Amino acid sequence: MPSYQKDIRRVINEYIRPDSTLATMEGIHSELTGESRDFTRWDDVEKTYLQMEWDGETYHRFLELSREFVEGNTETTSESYFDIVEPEDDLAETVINELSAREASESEDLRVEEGFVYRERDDRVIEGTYYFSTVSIEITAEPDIRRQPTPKSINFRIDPSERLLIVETTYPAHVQKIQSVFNNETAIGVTICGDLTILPGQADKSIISFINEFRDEEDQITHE
Amino acid sequence: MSEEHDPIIGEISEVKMYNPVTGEDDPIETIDFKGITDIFEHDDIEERRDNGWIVRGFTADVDYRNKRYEVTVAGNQVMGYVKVDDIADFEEGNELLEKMRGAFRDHFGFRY
Repeated sequence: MPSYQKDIRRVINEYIRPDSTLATMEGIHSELTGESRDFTRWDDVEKTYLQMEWDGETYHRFLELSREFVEGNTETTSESYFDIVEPEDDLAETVINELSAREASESEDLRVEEGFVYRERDDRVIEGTYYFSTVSIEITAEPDIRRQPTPKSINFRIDPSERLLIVETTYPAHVQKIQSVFNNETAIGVTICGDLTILPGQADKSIISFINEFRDEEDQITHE
Repeated sequence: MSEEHDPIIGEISEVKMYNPVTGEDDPIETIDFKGITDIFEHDDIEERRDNGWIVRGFTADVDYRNKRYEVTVAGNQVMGYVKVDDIADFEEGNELLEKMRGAFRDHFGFRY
């Protein structure tokens, strides 16, 4: 069945591989065959797949699974962390006061939402969104200048008992924006949580202890 | 006990390194890590550490509830963060993120 083989090689090398890790391929493989395999290189994948027996049904299943794994069905979530250093007392109350004092409203000049929207959950965690906009300038045919705002938003949570700000993105521009809004415009002071470059002598130990927490005894990192 | 649902960190696919003297920031990403459990025994990493570089983050396979994820944990002057890739089930992915967040604060959240 040379026709399947040629297409299968193409799907692996030109469709799956550019956008995926070997873990993705292992996922496809286990769904397709019911067996779990530990691929160490893409060459292994190709060799295995060219040696498998294919028919119309398994070939179509392979295509479906490839699309499922590569294009969707899986998502990424990420968040960044800040320690809340100010105020020392009455944190929850201060957060609510500061956020409500800057509740989102339409700005006068550009008529876009600016400020905070928030709610306090039953577990006292405060969920919020900060609205702002970036502005670009266009020169119109008249000619005249027109300021064109693009609305943006950043979601975050504040856990007063943990004194932690969780920003629900790792996009650097947004992370830096929310950090500077808190530090420069409110009474809430935050510092980066987990900046390993500040104490170089401590960094490797932090990494090792993190990894070891999630490893069996025989796989522990024992270095140093 | 929730021990049956403990995440397991498997192979490490990338190590983020930083040189505190020069400010250089550079990831080491290589297939050479395959099979090496202790990344600190890897030649490239050992060599850099001898030259004053530190490890400031990593990306690894993490198995959780019979699914495999790719997790990145790192911190520098811009942010400390956790990223979980390959989430097929939102609830389970979120559970994993919460566990990683707890560990992030325990191990990376030192005060100075």
